[in-house]
Amino acid sequence: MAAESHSPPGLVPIAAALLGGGMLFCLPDVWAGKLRSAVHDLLAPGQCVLAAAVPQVISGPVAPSTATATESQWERQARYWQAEAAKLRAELTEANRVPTWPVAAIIPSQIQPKLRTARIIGWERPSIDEAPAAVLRAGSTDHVAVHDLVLAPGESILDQGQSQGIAADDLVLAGRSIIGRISRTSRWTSTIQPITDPEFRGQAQIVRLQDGEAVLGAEGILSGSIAGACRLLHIGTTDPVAEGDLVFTALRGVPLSPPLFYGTITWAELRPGEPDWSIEVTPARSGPPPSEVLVLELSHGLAKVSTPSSGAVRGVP
Amino acid sequence: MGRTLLWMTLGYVSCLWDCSAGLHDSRWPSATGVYLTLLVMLWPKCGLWGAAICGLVLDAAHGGVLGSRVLGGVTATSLACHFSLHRAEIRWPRAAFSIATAIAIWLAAPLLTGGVRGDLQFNRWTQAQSIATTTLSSTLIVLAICALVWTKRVDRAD
Repeated sequence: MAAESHSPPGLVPIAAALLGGGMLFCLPDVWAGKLRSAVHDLLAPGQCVLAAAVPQVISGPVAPSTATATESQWERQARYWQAEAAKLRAELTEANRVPTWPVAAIIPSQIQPKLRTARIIGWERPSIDEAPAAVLRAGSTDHVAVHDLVLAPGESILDQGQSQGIAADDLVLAGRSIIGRISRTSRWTSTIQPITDPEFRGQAQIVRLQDGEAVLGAEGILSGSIAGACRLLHIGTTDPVAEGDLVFTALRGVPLSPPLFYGTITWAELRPGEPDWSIEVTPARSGPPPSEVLVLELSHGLAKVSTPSSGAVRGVP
Repeated sequence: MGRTLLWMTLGYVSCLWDCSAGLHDSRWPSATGVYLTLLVMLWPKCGLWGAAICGLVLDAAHGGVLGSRVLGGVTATSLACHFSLHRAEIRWPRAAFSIATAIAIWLAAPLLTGGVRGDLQFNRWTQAQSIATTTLSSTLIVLAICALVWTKRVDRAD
C-alpha cells in the first residue's frame, strides 16, 4: 500500500460526507421511502441466502408444534363460523325488515382475493419501543401493493364446499388472522406495518357471543398502540361491548366476505364524559410474525351478472 | 481490483449481518464496526466513504433516522484516522482505546440522534449495556485480527 494512502482524509471529504449525512435528515418522506426500498432491494439477495441457510438468524419465532397448530386450526374454524353465523343473522334480520330485493339487482363481488406466500427476510426496527416491521421477499414484480393485508399462514381448514356457498378463495381466507398490511413496496421486497403499529388503521366489527349465539356488533376503527396491543375506536357508548368479544374485519356491505380476524377484546371501559368506549384488543398473534406469511391481494375482476332476459352480461371492472 | 472487490463483498456481508440483527438488538459483535475499523486502519480515506455508505445502508434497512449512522460513522472514522490508527505504528493501549471509542460512536449514533429528535428515550440501562457489550466484543475481535495478521507480517518483514 502506498504511503500516501495512510494519510488521513482531508477536511473537504469529511465535510462533504457530513453534509451528505445532514442532508439525509431533511429528506422528504417520499424520497426517504424510495431510498429505503432501494436499499432493501440491494440487500434482498443476501438476505434470501441468509434466510435459507441460517433461518434462526432472521429470528422468526419457533414453529408451533403439531398440537398447537391443530388447536389453532380448530380455533380458526370456530371463529369463522361464529362470524358467518353473526353475518347471516344480520342478513336475515335485514331481509325480514325490507321488501324482497330483485335478484338481478344483487351484484356479485367483483373483487377477487388472491393469496400469495412470502418469506420474511429481514426486519425494520427504528427503536426498541416500536414493534418490528418485517421485510418480505415479495415486491411490485410479484404484484404486491401498498395496503395489501398480510395474514398469518396455515393450512386451509374447512371441509365445506360450493354447496354451502363458499368459493374456493373463501376457503383459504376463512377465519385467518391479520398480522398487518403492506406499508411500502419496492421491486423485490415489501415492508409490513404490523397491526400494533400506532399508525395502523383498519375497519373492524365486533362479533358478540350472546347466549351461545354469535351476534354482529358495532363497527369501528382498529388502531395500533405503543403497548403492543390494539385499540378499537369510535364505538359509541350505546353499543354493547364486553370483554371476550371477537373483532373481525367489517362484515357488512364489504365485498370481502370471508371474515378475517383481528383479535379479542380484553379490556373495555366507559369513561365518564366520553362519547365512545375505551377498548383494548389483543391481536390473535402476539409477537413477531412467523418466517412465512400470506399476502392478500384484492384485485378487481370481471364478474358475470345474470339477468332474466339476456342470460349473462359483463360487469364493470 | 481483486482486493477492492473482496473488501466490497466484506462490506456487503457485514451490513447484512448487522441488518439481520434488527429483531435482536443485543446481537454482537458489530460486523460493520469491525469492518470499518479495519478499513480505516488500512486505508483511512476508503474508511471514511465506507462508513458513509455502510451508515446509509444500515439507516435505510433498520428504519431509523436516516443519516444518523452516516454522521456517526464519518465522525468515528475521522477521529480514528487522526489517532494514527494504522498498522505501521500500532500501539496496543492507544489502539484499543481508539478502536473502542470509534465503535462506540458508530453504535450509539442512531440512539443519540433519536434522542436529540425526541423519537426515543436514551436512558435505558439495557441499551447502554447492549452498546457496551457490542463495543467490547468488536474491539477484541479487531485487536485479535491485528495481532494475528499484522504482527506476523511485521515479523516476516523483519
